[in-house]
Amino acid sequence: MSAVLLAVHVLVAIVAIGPVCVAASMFPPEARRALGDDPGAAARLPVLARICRTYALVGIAVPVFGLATASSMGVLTEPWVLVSIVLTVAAAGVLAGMVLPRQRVLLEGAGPRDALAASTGRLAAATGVFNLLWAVVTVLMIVRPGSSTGV
Amino acid sequence: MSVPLRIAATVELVSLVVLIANRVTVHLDGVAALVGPVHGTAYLAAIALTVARAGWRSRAAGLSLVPGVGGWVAAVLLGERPYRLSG
Repeated sequence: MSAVLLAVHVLVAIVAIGPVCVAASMFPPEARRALGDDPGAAARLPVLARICRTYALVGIAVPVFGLATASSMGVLTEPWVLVSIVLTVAAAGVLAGMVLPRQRVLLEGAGPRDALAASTGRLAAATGVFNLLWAVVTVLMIVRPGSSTGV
Repeated sequence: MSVPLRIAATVELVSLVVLIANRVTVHLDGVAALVGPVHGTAYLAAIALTVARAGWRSRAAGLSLVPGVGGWVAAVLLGERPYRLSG
């Protein structure tokens, strides 16, 4: 059963979190182009935001199946799993609390243009933090420092 | 009309029924191990969809936290049409 749970966990991580990383990274520069009156960029912006929202939702399955896998393998209390859980909660907080709301504000495009342009920088920073957290968790899943099961 | 919320609410309820039915009858470990995370994902997805539509402080968001039927209650509160297999 561990193999099935792990397969679902890894598959959803690749299929769901990958698109969020890419689309969220593309959003700030596209938003800057849209603010510079590029109609193509303005048309692409809602698509990128939709990819982020939709796959963030699908991505909920990643930590849930991850917990089930760790529990099934009996590694739930190992340090690399606990650190990963903390980092995943932080990444989810950054995505749901900063990245997606700031994307929505830019999509609505209300307010002075200077303020919107400045907020693309903050959005890019939050997106970078999200991507970095996920990269660290992914490396932890492979390196597994302090693991009793070996690599 | 939010199709994702209806799907999440339905999966949340059906998976919980399967889990409870499995527990009181055949008690297959494989069913519990697989359907458990499916239920957890649907439960969290229903809460996330409700919060995204109505906000944290809304009545629908509070009720969406109720296990099993929370997603459905939120969907009805947010003016969803009842889900029918016959469409």
